[in-house]
Amino acid sequence: MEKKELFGENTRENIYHCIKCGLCMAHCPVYKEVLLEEATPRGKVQLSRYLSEGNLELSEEVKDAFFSTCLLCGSCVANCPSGVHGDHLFSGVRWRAAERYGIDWKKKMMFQLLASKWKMSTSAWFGRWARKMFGGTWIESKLNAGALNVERIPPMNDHPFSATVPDVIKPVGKANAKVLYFHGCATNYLYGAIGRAVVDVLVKMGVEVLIPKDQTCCGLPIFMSGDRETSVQCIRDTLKIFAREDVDAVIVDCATCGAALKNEYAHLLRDLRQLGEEVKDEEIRAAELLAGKLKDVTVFIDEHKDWLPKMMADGRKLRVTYHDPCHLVKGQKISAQPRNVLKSIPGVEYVELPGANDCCGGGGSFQVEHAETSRKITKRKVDNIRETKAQVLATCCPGCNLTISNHLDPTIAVLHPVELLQKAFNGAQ
Amino acid sequence: MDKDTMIGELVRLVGRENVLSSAMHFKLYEYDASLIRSKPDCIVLPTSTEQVSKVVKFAHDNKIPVIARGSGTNLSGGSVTIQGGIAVVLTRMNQILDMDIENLRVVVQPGVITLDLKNVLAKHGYLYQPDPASEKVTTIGGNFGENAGGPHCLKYGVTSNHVLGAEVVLPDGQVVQMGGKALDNPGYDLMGVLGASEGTLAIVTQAVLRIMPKAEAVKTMLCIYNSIEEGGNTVTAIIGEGIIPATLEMMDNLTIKAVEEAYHAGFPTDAAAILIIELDGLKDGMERLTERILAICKQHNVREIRVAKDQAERDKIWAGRKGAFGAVGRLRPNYLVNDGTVPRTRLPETLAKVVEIGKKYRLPIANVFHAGDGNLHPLILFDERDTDELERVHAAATEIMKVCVDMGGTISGEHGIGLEKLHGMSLIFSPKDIAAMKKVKAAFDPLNLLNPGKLLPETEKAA
Amino acid sequence: MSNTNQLASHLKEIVGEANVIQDPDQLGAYAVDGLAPRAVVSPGNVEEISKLLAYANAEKLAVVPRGNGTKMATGGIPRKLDLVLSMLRINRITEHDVPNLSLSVEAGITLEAVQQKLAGTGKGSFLPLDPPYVDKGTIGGIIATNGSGPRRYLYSSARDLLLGLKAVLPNGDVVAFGGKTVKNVSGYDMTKLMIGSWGALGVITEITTKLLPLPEASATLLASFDDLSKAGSLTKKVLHSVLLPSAMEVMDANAAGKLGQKARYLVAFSLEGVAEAVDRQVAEIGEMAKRAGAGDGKVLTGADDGAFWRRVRDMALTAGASVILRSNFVISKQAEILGNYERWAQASGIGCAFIGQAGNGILTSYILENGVEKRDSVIDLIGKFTAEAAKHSGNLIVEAAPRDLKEKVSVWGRPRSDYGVMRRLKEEMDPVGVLNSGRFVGGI
Repeated sequence: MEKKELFGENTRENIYHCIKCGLCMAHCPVYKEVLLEEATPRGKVQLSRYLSEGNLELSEEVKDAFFSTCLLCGSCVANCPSGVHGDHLFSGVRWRAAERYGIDWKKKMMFQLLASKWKMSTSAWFGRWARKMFGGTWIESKLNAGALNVERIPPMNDHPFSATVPDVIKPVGKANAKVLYFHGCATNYLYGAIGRAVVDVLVKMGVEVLIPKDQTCCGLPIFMSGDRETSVQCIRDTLKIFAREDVDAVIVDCATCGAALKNEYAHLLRDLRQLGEEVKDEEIRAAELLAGKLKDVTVFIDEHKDWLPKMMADGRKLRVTYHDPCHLVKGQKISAQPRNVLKSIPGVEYVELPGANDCCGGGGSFQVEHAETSRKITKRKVDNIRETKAQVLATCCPGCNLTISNHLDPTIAVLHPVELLQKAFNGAQ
Repeated sequence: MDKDTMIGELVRLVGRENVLSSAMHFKLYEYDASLIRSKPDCIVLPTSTEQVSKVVKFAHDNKIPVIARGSGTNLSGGSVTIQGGIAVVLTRMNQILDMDIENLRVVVQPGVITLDLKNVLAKHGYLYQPDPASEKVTTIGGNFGENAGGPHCLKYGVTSNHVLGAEVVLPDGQVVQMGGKALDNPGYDLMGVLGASEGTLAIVTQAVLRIMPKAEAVKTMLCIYNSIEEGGNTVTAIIGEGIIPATLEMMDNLTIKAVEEAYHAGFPTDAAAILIIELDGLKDGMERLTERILAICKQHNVREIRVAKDQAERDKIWAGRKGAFGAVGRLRPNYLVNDGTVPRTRLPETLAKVVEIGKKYRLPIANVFHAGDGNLHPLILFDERDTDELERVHAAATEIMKVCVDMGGTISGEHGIGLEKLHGMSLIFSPKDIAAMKKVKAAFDPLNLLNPGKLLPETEKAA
Repeated sequence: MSNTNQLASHLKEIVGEANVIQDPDQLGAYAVDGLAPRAVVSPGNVEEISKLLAYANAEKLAVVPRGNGTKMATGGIPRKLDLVLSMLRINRITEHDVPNLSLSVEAGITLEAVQQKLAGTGKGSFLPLDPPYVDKGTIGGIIATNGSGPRRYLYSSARDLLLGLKAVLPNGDVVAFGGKTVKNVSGYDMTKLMIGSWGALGVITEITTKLLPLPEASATLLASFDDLSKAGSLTKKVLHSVLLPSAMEVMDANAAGKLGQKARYLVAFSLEGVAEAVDRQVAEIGEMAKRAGAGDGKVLTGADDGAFWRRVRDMALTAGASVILRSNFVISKQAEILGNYERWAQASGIGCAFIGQAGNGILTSYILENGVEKRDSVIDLIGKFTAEAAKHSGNLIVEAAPRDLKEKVSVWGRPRSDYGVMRRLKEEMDPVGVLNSGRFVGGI
């Protein structure tokens, strides 16, 4: 088997900054449940070293360690005192492992769909129709979605979100700003309400919103599964559409998409170049441009709160708590702004969630493929939420939303902060 | 006994799900947080005292070395199986068994993470005092085996002062109780010699800990200095005045820079040293004590003093201190942490010598130290891929050890001898001293199966 | 085995004629449980001790180290006794590092002499140990027997104070462990092993210890109760509060009487620290006592304060008890156990005084002179007391008793599962059985 380099030079240097102090073990949600060294970020950094130096062969077991004991949540990166980017190393290993051992055909098909707008829309429509025609509790009980309770997975949008909005929405009067809206797959196919709330709020703030129709998946879930080729396609497509000088910001409503566009694109392109792939300078510049423009919607709102219209209190109190999505708080270091947005809504009684930035345990496909570990992690989150006696759990990630709402008491609503904001504008809660 | 037979037997004793024996696992359990690496022959993760006992008895009957291990963050190589054998990983034995608040005791399994325990106790308004910087990841068992300290040990003592009893598995597999919930059980203080024994005498499977009510008031001060010497002299002066704070910690400029980059704790990066002073106890008289301390600081030319206004500010100061070791990993890829201890009064002198040693061997050295108890941690920074540098690092470390001994101190304050400092034992102990310690080892572990090759050097028997 | 003359001449060679006692009339004073030694020897330096023990080891002599002999009555009856090793000439303060708050001192000096020296140097410091036998207890004896007293509540005991220790092993090896630093994990913690080893693993010659600055202020608060459970509720409240008394004792009427206090049950608090904290605690605990149902409280300051605690420590001498029992158990059972002990003693018609360290789970029972005649009842009582302590995770030691009583009871209480290790330890350290052989737990 010919030796393929796992990492670009910069990425590989991370290995040698790991001093094995083990402090990452205190923050890894998987290690907490599994208690094995391979489940620690340190362990995986050391495995990366052994693989890179040729002291260990890539085997099924090693592959499993990188896939089944890691959510790529980034908690280790955020807390490593030496600044080791474990996530870059781990995704490098996943890539070569996927090349050697392949990716589950169902997953591969899913990625192909996500990467192609047209294919995805069609499938979504088909899926929704099939669920309506043939779905029902009996069939749902037979489907296996790992840790997810099938019957509590939200139905697909009647129409993909992007089909329900024009490509340009102008505000009333003079525009304060012009933004591109990257809505991502979750909003597009499952959480249309979030998309509508984002648009509604931005327009009321006097912002002109551009929603390119040909946008696709940000590529990150595909990338994390090791399918670099397909994910690079998504990256290049996204850069073409979104890396523009002439907008004030590129807005996202999803923590993972945000992390991808802000942190991962430039790094990944550079890494590929160091591994000998052809990457043009202007692609890297485009990635950097996009990273500079990228703003989570709550950050944008918080920065321009003076543009918000007056909100009416209707006398009712709503007890709200907030879950920090890993890719937002750890990846992008954003934690204050979503809270500011929530606290600014009249009638909201904000209560801090214990362990607010603990991972929800979803990890995209992780919860499907590694149900036992995922369930244990999610249970801790759900118990904490229950303890706050909140009526609403707010979070800025549809992925977290999906996971948490799937296991949380159905009487507790799970919403994106912009949805609460939208309701406040319209005078209802 | 060949490896496969051994593995088969262990599977039979504790179940397949508790045994690891793949190439990947041997590599994963070959290290701890030191520079030493050596693979075990098998790894077991027992879930009960009974399982530990069975494994140890099996090892004993077949003369196989055994090392107990928690999170594996040992800094002196104590968790590394340098003679092969079975690594007994106790992370799965992580239950708090008995919260006996009425009697000020808690009984825990050895794999409980120290900070997790403290968080549970805090909910009830109680404290387990030892607070090593690694507490969020280290286990009670590991802390006890190394007799971990922490900033608060100046006032409250180290781990062995707070572990009053244990259920242990002896090297022949027997399970016995040592110490207990009550003080002063008759007999030799076996608990006393078990602490800091680095896993060479017995394996703890349950620990009885002393807890106490939370202090009424805490006052944390950050004092910024333009010279390390002035900071060190402040420490001596405070204690000389008859004030024993709960902690007195110092960091030098190189460390401050690394910490700021990693944690943004607000430490000024042009300060020569910062001193963290904390008082705790009754609120009465605390203001007056604080005034006295601040006066002493001013007498020693302190540049700036910040008193933490609330818990959040206090936490920020401590986060900077507790993350210091790892933070220096940003400056150079690796560090070797020294652990020498000197009488408090000789700290400034010792530090001056450490600086000289750094210059002599052309190595950057960042210093973090428990100024109140004289335990210094010079962090020698290097890149382990550079073999020349690595040699100089070991030479510098040995010289630092010698300096500490010359100052009337010792070679390890809290990280243990392990393998790493074995060659330093002859600096502080005579052959007769070591012979006496070997008698203790012989009483517990005549076959030398428990963590062999650590702590006790292979000197010839005393004349 | 050499005959007595050979023995004496050899001893004289080592320590000098003046330092050997051979005269049978004088030897009686050094008897242990009525067994007199063949000689008493007083070495003047560590080298001499080393030579003495090496000799004893070679000649298989039975040796008992001794300070002022306050604790000689504790332990098993010696099967044989050749030599009493007096440590009284090994009595220097070898280093007092004032700014470092550490002290190195030899074994033969009394704790009291040390305290006086410390108090009078610089700003004043003290070694926070307050064991019984105020005037006579020597450092070596106190450490070897892990002596402690009421102030253990706040200041802990020897194992939390000592930084290092020097000793001579049974084979004559001179060894040193620990040092001057507060933290030290180099090698095994042999210092802790030697503390409380009852002179059976080696002869302690010198210790190095932490000191504390003398407290700025102090006072003692006395609260009297008619009801033991109410006294217990007070001590429980204080135990779980943020308050920091240095001592918290609960005692019965007999003990209180010996201290010149009138109370059915007396609770005594020692408060030391900065002036504001002492004042606050005197007031607050006084309030708590009233609310718990105490009678009028009393506050002792100055000389009265010091004198009270000296008498508490020396209760053994004041009470004139020749049977002293020490029970240990979990902290919260103090009142319950004291109450049971009291009832059983009364039921057997045996006069007893009881003092408990309410924050430590230690209870000392003094069987008063007129109770000693009822030998069998006393033995019975000891059995009951021991079972009661064992029921609460503890044990009972007979600290002092006439020989014929000791023969009939287990002076070290119930055996424990780790005795096997202790036995092997003794065998390794003292294979010949030179030091205090057979006198420790399990007949080691």
